This record gives sequence, structure tokens and C-alpha cells, in this order.
Amino acid sequence: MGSEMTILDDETLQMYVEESLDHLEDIESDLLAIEQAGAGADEELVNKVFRAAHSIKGGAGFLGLTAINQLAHKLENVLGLFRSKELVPNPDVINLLLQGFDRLRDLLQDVDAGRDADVSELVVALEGLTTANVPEERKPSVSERVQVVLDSHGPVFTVSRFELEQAVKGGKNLYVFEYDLIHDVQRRGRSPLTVLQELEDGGVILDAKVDLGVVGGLDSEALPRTIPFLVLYATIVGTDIASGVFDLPDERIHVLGEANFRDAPPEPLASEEEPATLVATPAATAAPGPEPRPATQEPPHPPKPGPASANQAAPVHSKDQGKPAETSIRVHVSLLENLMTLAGELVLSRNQLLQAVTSGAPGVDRIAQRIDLITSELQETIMLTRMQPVGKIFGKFPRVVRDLARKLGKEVELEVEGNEVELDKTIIEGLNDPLTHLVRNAVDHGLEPPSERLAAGKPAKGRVSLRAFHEAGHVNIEISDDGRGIDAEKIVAKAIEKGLLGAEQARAMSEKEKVGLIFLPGFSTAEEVTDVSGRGVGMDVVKTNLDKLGGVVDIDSRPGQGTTVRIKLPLTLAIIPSQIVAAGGQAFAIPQVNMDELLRIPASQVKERIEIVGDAEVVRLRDRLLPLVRLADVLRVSPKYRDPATGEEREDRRRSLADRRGRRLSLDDPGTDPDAAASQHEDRRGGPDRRSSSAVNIVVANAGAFQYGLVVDELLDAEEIVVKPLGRHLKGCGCYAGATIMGNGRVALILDVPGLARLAQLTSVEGSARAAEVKQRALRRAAGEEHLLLFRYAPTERFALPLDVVQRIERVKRDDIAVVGGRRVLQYKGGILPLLALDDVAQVGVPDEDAEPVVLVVRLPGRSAGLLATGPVDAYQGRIEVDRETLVQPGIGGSTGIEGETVLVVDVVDVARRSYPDWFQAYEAEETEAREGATLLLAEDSAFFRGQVAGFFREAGYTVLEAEDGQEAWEILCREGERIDAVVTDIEMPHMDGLALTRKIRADERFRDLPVVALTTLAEDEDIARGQEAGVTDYQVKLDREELLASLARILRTEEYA
Amino acid sequence: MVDRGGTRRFQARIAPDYRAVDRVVEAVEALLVTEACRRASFGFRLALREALVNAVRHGCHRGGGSEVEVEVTVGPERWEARVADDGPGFDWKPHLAKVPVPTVSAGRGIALIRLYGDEVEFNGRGNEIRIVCRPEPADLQRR
Amino acid sequence: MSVIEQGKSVVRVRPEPGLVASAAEELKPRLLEAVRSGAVEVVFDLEGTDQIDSLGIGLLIATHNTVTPKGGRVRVVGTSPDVARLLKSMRLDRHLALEQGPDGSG
Repeated sequence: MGSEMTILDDETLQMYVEESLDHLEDIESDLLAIEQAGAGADEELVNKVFRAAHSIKGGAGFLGLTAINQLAHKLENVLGLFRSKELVPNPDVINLLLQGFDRLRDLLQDVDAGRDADVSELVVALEGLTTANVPEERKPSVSERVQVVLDSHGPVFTVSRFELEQAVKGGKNLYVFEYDLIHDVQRRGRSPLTVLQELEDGGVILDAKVDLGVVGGLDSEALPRTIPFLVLYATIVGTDIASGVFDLPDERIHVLGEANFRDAPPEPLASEEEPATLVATPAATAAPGPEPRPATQEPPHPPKPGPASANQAAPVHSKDQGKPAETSIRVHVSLLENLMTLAGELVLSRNQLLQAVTSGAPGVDRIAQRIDLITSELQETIMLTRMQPVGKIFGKFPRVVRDLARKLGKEVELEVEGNEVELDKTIIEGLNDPLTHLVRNAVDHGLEPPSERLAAGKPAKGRVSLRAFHEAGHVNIEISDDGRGIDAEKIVAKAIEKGLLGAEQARAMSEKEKVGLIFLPGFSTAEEVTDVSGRGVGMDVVKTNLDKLGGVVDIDSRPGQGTTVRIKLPLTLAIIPSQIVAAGGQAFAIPQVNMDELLRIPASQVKERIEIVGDAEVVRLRDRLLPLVRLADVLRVSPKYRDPATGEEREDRRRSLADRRGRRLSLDDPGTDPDAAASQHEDRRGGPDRRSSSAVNIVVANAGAFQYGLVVDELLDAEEIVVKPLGRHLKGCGCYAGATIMGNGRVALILDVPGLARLAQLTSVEGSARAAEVKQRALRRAAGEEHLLLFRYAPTERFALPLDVVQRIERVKRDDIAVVGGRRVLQYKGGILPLLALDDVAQVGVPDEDAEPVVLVVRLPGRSAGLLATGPVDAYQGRIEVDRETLVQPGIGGSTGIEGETVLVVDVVDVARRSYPDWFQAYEAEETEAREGATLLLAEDSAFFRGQVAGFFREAGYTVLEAEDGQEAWEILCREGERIDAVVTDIEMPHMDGLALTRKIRADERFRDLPVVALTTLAEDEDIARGQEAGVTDYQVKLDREELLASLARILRTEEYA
Repeated sequence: MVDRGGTRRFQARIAPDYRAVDRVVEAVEALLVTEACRRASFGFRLALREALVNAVRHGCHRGGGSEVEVEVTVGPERWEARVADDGPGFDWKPHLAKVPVPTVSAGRGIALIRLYGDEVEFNGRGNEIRIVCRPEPADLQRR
Repeated sequence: MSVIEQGKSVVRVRPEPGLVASAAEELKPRLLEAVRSGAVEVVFDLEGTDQIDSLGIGLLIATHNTVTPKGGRVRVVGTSPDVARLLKSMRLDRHLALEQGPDGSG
């Protein structure tokens, strides 16, 4: 018939390849599982692999991919033997199957080359295997071929007898279905492949093809109007109802009977040669020769169609479907990405629209509101399209572990659970690296070599388990091993050695906290990470990655027994389970991922469990003390409580939780509160004082690295909420992570648990906010030398300040210092400089009356201030060790020894924060007008942002010079240095980033004091700290126009003092 | 042809003859020229032609009907074709309603029409078909 | 009227007004004739037309079925993009040589 023209419809081919590769994704692990289970292999699993081979074969046949078709065919046969229990899975067979599927994957990935590839070796081996394992009397049928003949069409198919027989097992009927490509299968979105897929659900497709030849030629009476598409099909569906079930008219359904089958010569292989090598297979004693079998005159026994012999009536829809019924469609990932981007753009525009809409035009408000609602919904819906099963990344681990174990000479068994658990796509992608690291870690560092294990009384084979499961509305992933565990003391020792921790602090830590030190940045260094565990990824990077995904991670370890790493992740970034609480009569939501437990302390236990330590309240929780934060205080709302008698909301005037509530309380009804009853009871025994139910509600909040107790007025429901971004007027608060509309239609703000902690100025032993660590690291700078300014205040103590924080030193007269509004200020260069005094915040000596004051003008975010001191002021340069634990107090970051004297290192930012808390909070926009003739240098690589920001500035009256990156900015600065009053720079830029630029500026004599404002889209503490370290004057969020202008105005005003 | 403020209509009755079908489609093409849309025009004409061929072949030649009526309305965003024959009609319900493969059993090749038409409807008896196309602005380009 | 040009063994057909029912009816006997007189290759030239229907397609197939047993083939040239797409979606490109543009230069 001439050479087959195989110009294929690209789309169909691509679809076929993608789906086939999908089928193959799991095959490896499935086959390994089957190998493990041997004779007890799970039927469902075997069926699954069978169907994979089967559907790959089907499509390949249709698309003319001969090699793939052949190979898949033979694989299918072997798997069929598994199914019928005629062959028991063993490593040799599985190896061959693995090879076969690997080859199949190769062929699919390079389809063009794959079309005519030579697969004869594998085919022969597989066929030999099949023949060898088929009962003696059926052996010939493996290579015998049968022709299927239709009256109307002549011979249409040729198949192996063996296959026919396998297909009709269970009393299935054989048909040829006749579809028409012109009229039947042309519907939008359907293709012959789809038809095949649908049929596969209901039976077994033996073969399918397009057959032009059957419609007749020019000499036929009528012109053909059909392009027949024939399918050879075995199904249990009976002949009487087939038409209805498959929706084909009876004349298009050909029921096959004895008369339809004839002998046919055995098949040639893909290489088109009669293979002499057939004989070379191990068990191919019954290998068929190239001649047709001596034809038995009567047609061979075709399998009997008809429901009569239904001994093992296999259900038509057995559970072994490869895929669930198609309630989904395939969409290219780039399309989803586009949708996401568009949704994001829409959100931005919506925001701008809302800003721009002023109540004026009637109806516009409502429209804007509607657009707002729709946009939000759209965004949420799109986020939901991104859910994927975690098995996507779990799938590679069996092989990873197998290979790694072999490499290290260890014996490892990997258990994986929870492949079907779903997560947002970005989260899944972000999990890949950390999980890989953790799993490799478990095998490499966690598990001991077999000899060691045996010596320890453990089985030689180590166990690593990877589990994903839902819990309380988020997803948990656990990686555990039964290896040697983590030695907490070793960790502590290492941490102390690296200066991350003081010995005293270490003593106060629990086992868990000690082990958790592993997550500290700087803990593991590149040299320690073996090449097996990967590229110098430390646990801190794992933690950072997980933080970025909104997850929290936790380690549990028992030395000698094993380690478990637990990761908690939100399901999506859009919808999170949360706990609703009330404070000050308003509802707030706390994300579950940040919540460890709820504590309700009954009145009777309040005095006992809530204590005051220093000036902070703490609660005893089992074995530790949790610092308490009163939500109402942090948010500055007045706390309320419900009067148990009247149910009214009243203000809770207690100054301390441990106090009794105010006296104006009514007598209680024991009523609904058993605690009240108990406390009442006790009180009556104890004396005349009464308490109402002063139970305290505490949410044990988890800010990742540490916990604290959040005291709320009431605990309400748990709800799944949709996270909505905050309006810009709230963003600067630092205490809210978003907002949501609750089930009752009311708005609740979502609390930013770490943010609240910062606001409440909580710190923790193991180094909570990254800023603290980084600041401290900056203080120490292990490798280099410190430049310090040494001074005194009271004559008895010596203090130090890092030199680069100090702008200048002024000797002033006492008269220059005034007290204004209760604060000390300095009249300075025609203006006023706020002053900071150490004794305002710390327990330090007070200077002598007549000592001449010295003012150290220091650089703070967004302003300058003066730190009061007395002379002598010395500069010191050298290496120092800072003890950050003894002698630490507000305003004092640590101490060190210099020339035999103890020197207290001042944390001037802390002093400022305690003296002027308002400096560090969101404030109203001050005047934003530019100073006359002020010129700014703007470095920003995004043309869009650069345009926007330059626009703001120019509108406000500045002259703006623009640069695309740090390098260009530097060049401009060098050229025009004189006229530039301040630099505003983005952080992430090519060629030279913002921080590098800042450092360069600070390092240069000419520009040392030039104010630099860094623009960012985030304002994480870590970033701020890094920025401060580099010498940034202020950090601003991009596009927060008012803040930006206010900040610049402030800075430039301050600079006038310089 | 009747012009009614942006909408043009074309009506005809033809004998069950393939050449007549050609003339109808030609006339409709003239209507569509000013719309100047290539892809949409192809699809609409194809659907219309199939409908006409069906009416001729099945309604008349095989069904015994004697003439075919056609009405085409071309508006700025919506093109509609209505084709009716006076033959016996056919049972179209199973073909439009059900999802799996409909066939040529009754001879009315619906599929091509459904491929290119945005809306396809039959009257109860099945001897009248209405096809609507809504050309996308993107398809509208000057030839 | 559709045009048939008979060469030595190649027949070139230009259906008018296109590959449609009316032309198919007309061409069927003429093509049969041509094939019987020795034509082995049949070229359908669709340059300049995008008219097509199922009977026209039927003609292509019938022609294919008649000439291929004799070792011949069917070519379709000058197809417009829409027509080419339709024929491909029916997998006819596997059996017929489809060439866009005039004289198969597409």
C-alpha cells in the first residue's frame, strides 16, 4: 500500500506523548512495589501498570509509532501474565520490565527518532519471557496470529491468538466497532484518542485503525461520506445492549463469531526481517519459526463470544482505572502562570482603581466595589487551580534512597505515605529542595552503617519514613529515621563555639530547643556538608525555604533512637484554617499554622500559673515559661470580658492578669461556668474576697523559632478563611498579615504572629527575630576588627558604640540641653536634636552634676539623635569577644573586656526605641515637599518602578537622576556627586545590587554621609538588618508614595545638621 | 436582500439540487465579504453548506421532500442560518443531547456542523436546523 | 464546470466551485473514466477556493481507494489553511499527500 505517510497532527501527538509519559511516571515505583510484594502483589497495582502499557500501545498503534507499539505490546503481555497469576513477579522479570519501560520512555521523549527505532532485543526477550511462562498447551498461541474478517469489509485486523484469548477471559464478547471520522469523531475537542480512552474504561481494546479502503472507490455506486475508524474490542457488555451502551447503531457494531477468524502468518518484528535470533532467547524452546504454522484446516477455536461462559465475571468498571473519570482537562502550565499574572495585575489595578475612585460620580463606587469583589474571587479561584498532589515530589525518593544507600554501603528501607495529599503548586515546588536535603540527611547522617546498627541491637536495615498527612487544616510532612539521633549537647557545644549562643543561655534551654539550634543561620558551614547530602545546603537554608512557604519546621530527636523532622504547611496560600478570637470586642483570626494549642486557665489557677518575671508576664506551660502578650494591649484596644452573670461585655480593667477584676462586678451565679463555681467555692472558704470567672484565655502562638502566649478576651470558632491582602493603610502596622470575611459576614483581621511578637518586643533565648542575630553578628564580626567608640556616662562605667553608627561627636554646654515636653533635647545648628540618655532605659550610673556633657550624634532609621555621654571619648580598634548574655539589659547589647576593663556595648537603636517608641511605628505623613533644588539619584532596574518612583519625586519638586543598576548609579554619583542630596535605591539589581552600592557609598570619603534610602517590596527584619549593616539610612516600601516622600523629607532635613 | 440597520438578510427557496446549494453559499459569501473575516467565514459557510447538502440529500433525495428553504441573517456579531426541508425529518435528539459518539445512522452528518457552529438547534421534527456563529473580533481581519 | 487535465499518467483536477457536492457528483464518473484509461496519480488542485463539504471529501477518498491498489496516489495541492486544517483533523494527511500553496510549494 505504499509507505505510510505519518504526518501527524501535532496536537494529538503531543497530547499522546504527554499522557503516555504521565503513565510512565509512576511505573518505576509501582514495579518496585510489585517486586517487593512478589506473589502477594497488589492486584490494583498490577492492573494499573498493565493499563499503562495498554493505553500507550493503543495510541501508538493509531499514530503509527511502530516501535513504541511493539514494545508496549510485549510489555503488556507480560503484565497480563502477572494479572492472570501465570507468572510471579521476581527481580529478573521486573528488571526486564524496568528496562522495557525505560526504553519506552526514551522513545516517547524523542518521538521522531522513536518511530523506527530498533527494539527487537527487548521485544524478543519479553516475548521469550511470555512464552516461557505460559502453560505448555498455550505456548504456540503467543506467536500465532489470527485474522479478523468482516463480511462487509474483508480482513480488517490481525492479532495474536494469545491476546485474543487473554482478552476474552471472563466471558467477554468480541466486537468490531465502526466509527466515522467525518461525522462522529469530529466534535470540538474530541479526537480518536478520546474515543479510545472512553472505550478503555469499559473493556479491552485489542486494536484500532483508520480504514479508508472499506468505503469503496470511484466505481462504487455512491460517493463515500464516511472515513471509517474501526476498533477491535472485547467487553463484557452483551450483544443485545451494546448498541445502547456505546451509542452506536447496530449496523456499526459487528459481533464476532467463529466465522470471523482465520489463520494468519506470524508477525514480523519492527526491523522488518524474519528474525533468526528468535531462537536465541533462553526459554524459547517453543519459539515460532518464520513459516506459518501448518495450517489446521478448520479455523482455530476462537474464544466463544456471548455471556454464556461467564465463570469469572469480571466487573466492567473494576477499580483498576488508571485515571478517574474525566472531570478535568489538561491545561498547559504556562497558561496557568499567565492566569496568575493577569490576576495579579488585575489586583493591582483594582487597588489603584479603588484609590482613584472618589465619591463623586454616582454608581462608580458600587461598580468599583463589584470589581473589587470579582477580582478577589477570581484570584482565589485561580489559586485553587494550582493544587497538586505531593506524590509528585515524593515519587523520586525511592530511587534516590536506593542509590544513596548503595553508595554509602547502608541498608535502607523507605516508607512513603500520603502521596495523594494536595498542596499548592508553588509550595510543592518549594518543597523539593528542602525535602531532598532532609531525606538525604536522614540516610547520610541519620542512619548508621549496618555493623553499627547491629552492635546497637537494631536491625541492620535502617528505616526512613516520609509521611504527608492532613491535620487540623494544614498539611504535615514528616521525615523520620530510626538512626542515631541528634546529640543535643554536641549541637549546643557547636553553637557556643560559633558564638551563636552563650553558655548561660544554653543551660536554660530545653532538649528540643537545643536540637532546634540546628536551624540557626551560620550553624552548618560548607565544609561540613558532604557531597552526598548536596551542595552546601544547611538546615538554616531548609528553614528559610520553608519559612518562605509559610511553613514551620520542628525537630524531634532521641539519641540512639532516631530523628523526626516535622514540617507544617498551609494548604494554599489563599485559604487557611484559622482560629477566631476576640479582643476588645473585635474579632481576629490566627492562622492555625501559627497556633500550637489553646489554653484556658481557670480562675483558680491563674495566680499559680501566671507569674511576673521582670516586668513581663509569663505563664507556666508544662515544663516551661511562655512569655505572655496581651493582644488588647498590643493592638491598643481595651480588653473586654463577658460578665458571666449578665452575659454583657465589659471592660476588663485589670492591670495584670493575675489581679482580680475590678470591684464593680456583680455577684456571680455559678451558672454555666464550672470554674467560676470552683473559684467561688474556694473563695468562700478563703474569705470574703470574691472573684468572678477571671479565667484567662491564652493562645499558644508559634512564631517559628519560639512560642509565646497570646492573651485574648474570648476564644471563638475555628474557621477556614480566605486571606485577603491588607489595605495599604494597615500594612505598616506590623501586626496584621491580612484580613478576611468570616462566616458571619463580618471582617476579621488576620494576626501576624511573629509581627505581634516584635511589636511586643519579645525576644527569646534561641535568637528569635533574625534581626537580633544579625545585629549581634554585626556587633561581633568574628573575623575582623571592631572599630569602637569608647565613652563614659557615670564615671564608674565604660561604654562602647560601633563607630559607624556615630555621625559626629559634639562637646556641648550644659545650657544647650533643654527639657522640652519632658524630654531632653539639644539646641543644635538652629534646630533641635532629640537626646537619648542611657539611664532612662538602663540601670547604669548617672553622670556627675558638673561633668561636661558630650553628645554622640548617632544615625538612626530615618533620623538622627544624640546619645548623652561624658568624656573621655576614645576610639578603639581591635578584636573583641562580646558576651551577649551577662550584663545584658535594655539598651545594652552585651559586654566585653578592653584593656582590663569591662565595657558595656550600647545598643543605641534599642535605647531609641525604648525612649521614643513612636519613632518606630507607622506615622502620619509629614510634609512631603522637597527642599528647594534637592536632587536625588534613583537606582532601580525595573523601568516600570523607576518611572513610578521618579514620578513621585518629580511631582514633589525634586530633581531626579535615574540609573538602571548599582553600577550605573555609582558612575553617575562619581560624576555628579556634588549635586546629589540623597540616593534612593532598589535592592535587587543586576551588575551591582543596592546593598553593594550602599557599602561602596559608605566606604567612600566623598559620600560617607550621603543618605541612602533602600526600596524594597518586603520589609523583613532580616532585610532591614542587612540594610542597616550595609549602612542604609532608611528602608521604604516601593510605591508607598507618602512614606517615601516623608522619609526623604525627614532625612534631608536631618542632613542639614550635618 | 433586506438591510435593516447593520443586519443583512438573505432568503431563498431552492430545488433539491447541489448547484443551487453552490449559488446560495456564493450569495452568502458575498454578504460576508464586507465583514472581511476569513476564519469565521469559512466555518459558517461550511456549516451552512453541510446543512444544505443534508437537506437536499436526506430531506429530499431520500426523504421525498421537494424543496429547501434557507434564510441567512448576517449582523455585526452574530450570523445565523436557518435551513429547512419538507422531508420527514429525523430523530436528532440523541445526537445533540448525548455525549459519546453520534453516528451517521440517520444520515444527517451533524458533526461537521457542530464543529464550526456556536449554536446548533433542530426543530422538533428534525427537518429544520438553525446554526449560529459568533465571530470573534480576533477573527475579523481584512482579507 | 470542473476542469480535468489528463497527462500521461497524471490527472489534474480543478473542482469548481470547490471540493463540494455539486462538483463531486460531476467529477465522479469523469475521474473513473480517467483512471480506467491509465491515470495513476490524481492531483486535486484547490488553489483559490476554500469551499468544501463532506461529499467533496468523499470524492477524495473514493479516488484514493481506486488508484492506490494500482500503485497510484492522490495529491491535494493549493489548500487554504482552513481546508488543510480540516483535512488533517480527519487524519487524511496520512493517506493523501496534502500540500498547501500552488503546485505543492507550501
